[in-house]
Amino acid sequence: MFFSKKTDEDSFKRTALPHLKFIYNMALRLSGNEYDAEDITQETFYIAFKRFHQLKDEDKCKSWLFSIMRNLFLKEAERRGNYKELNLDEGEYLFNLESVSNYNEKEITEKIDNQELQVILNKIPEKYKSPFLLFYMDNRSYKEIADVLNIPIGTVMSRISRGRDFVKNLLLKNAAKGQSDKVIELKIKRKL
Amino acid sequence: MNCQEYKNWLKKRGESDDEAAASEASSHAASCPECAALDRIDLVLEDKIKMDLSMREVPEALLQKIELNIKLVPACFKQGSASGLKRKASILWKAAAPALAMAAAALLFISFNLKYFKSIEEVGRLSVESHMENLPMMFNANEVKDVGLWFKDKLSFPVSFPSIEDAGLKLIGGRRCKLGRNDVAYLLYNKGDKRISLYVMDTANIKYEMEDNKKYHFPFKDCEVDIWKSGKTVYSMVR
Repeated sequence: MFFSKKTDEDSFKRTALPHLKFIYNMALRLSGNEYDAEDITQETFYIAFKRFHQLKDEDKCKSWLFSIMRNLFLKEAERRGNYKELNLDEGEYLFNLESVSNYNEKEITEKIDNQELQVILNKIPEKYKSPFLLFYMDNRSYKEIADVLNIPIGTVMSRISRGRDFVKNLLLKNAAKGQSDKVIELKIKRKL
Repeated sequence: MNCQEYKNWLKKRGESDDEAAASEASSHAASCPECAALDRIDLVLEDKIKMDLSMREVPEALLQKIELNIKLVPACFKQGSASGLKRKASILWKAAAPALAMAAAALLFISFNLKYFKSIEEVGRLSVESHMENLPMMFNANEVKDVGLWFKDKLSFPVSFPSIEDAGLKLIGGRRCKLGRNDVAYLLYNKGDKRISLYVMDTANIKYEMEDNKKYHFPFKDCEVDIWKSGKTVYSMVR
């Protein structure tokens, strides 16, 4: 009457657990801390095990797990309701790159290297963060990312580009702080 | 390719496999020092992203929790038709309900009590263990103007900090973290070359009496710990 639970467990472990490291790391980068990442990952695999019969194609298990994890993250973020995200002006990254290129390159490089990337990732809107992370952490193609996130390829390309600009721009701005106020002055002059 | 075209290419670098454009860009950078400088910094940024996004190992305890969860899911909530599942669930639920209710009550009672700090020594021990873990910061001091406000949406209690910066301590950064099962505020300070951790928690999490503003000092594992209470807040400092 009941299916063999041992068989289910073995099948699930064989199919889903190999993706644990990927799911944990994506949860870590989305949530920004280990505690939430562990909670979300644990919940993801619990839900996935209960719904394992819904997975028709084992080759799609990784994407399926990612969708479950991402939905959990978004639900929790909405519940907390405190997600403050930055905006980025089009062209701001290139503008700041040009300004910074006049500074001492060795110092700028050191200041970029010394930064904690996660602090910057925490400020980026999730709609740019997910495709950005899938691109850099999982080496996915635009088409694969579009399938996972269920958005058009063109949208994937522009969101990865924006996400990349966000990250690089914030890394640059932090590195340039304390060098001089030249960047701010130039930005104000340009707006005028 | 002129400088503007080079910058446009640089912005979209990595989005396409256009080798001809890449070759043109490379030739331009070879003869334009300004654009070559942009290229170098952009590559530093790109490398920083790739390096910092490398995968971390999964904590061993997490894998164990997941495997335990799998074992605890009842067999009837596994593969099968929706109507079959409902029938199996109904049978199991009726049989198991009283035992499940008692188990849930017991778990709730245990969980409720495990949550609290039972002694100052426990707070001290957990603080030192956390201090030694060298936790990454969720914010750096120069990024946040109002540290109390930063913690406002992240903890269920109002966070106030003692004024200790005039004792020569320089704030480096902070984060939310756990001591035992409780969420606390964590600030990292430097004094000279010494790392100092400050944990801030709600008195609602402690199950023992503490005199207001009296410092409890003791050594633990090569560290010095100071714990004190002020109003509804308990502080634990580890040096």
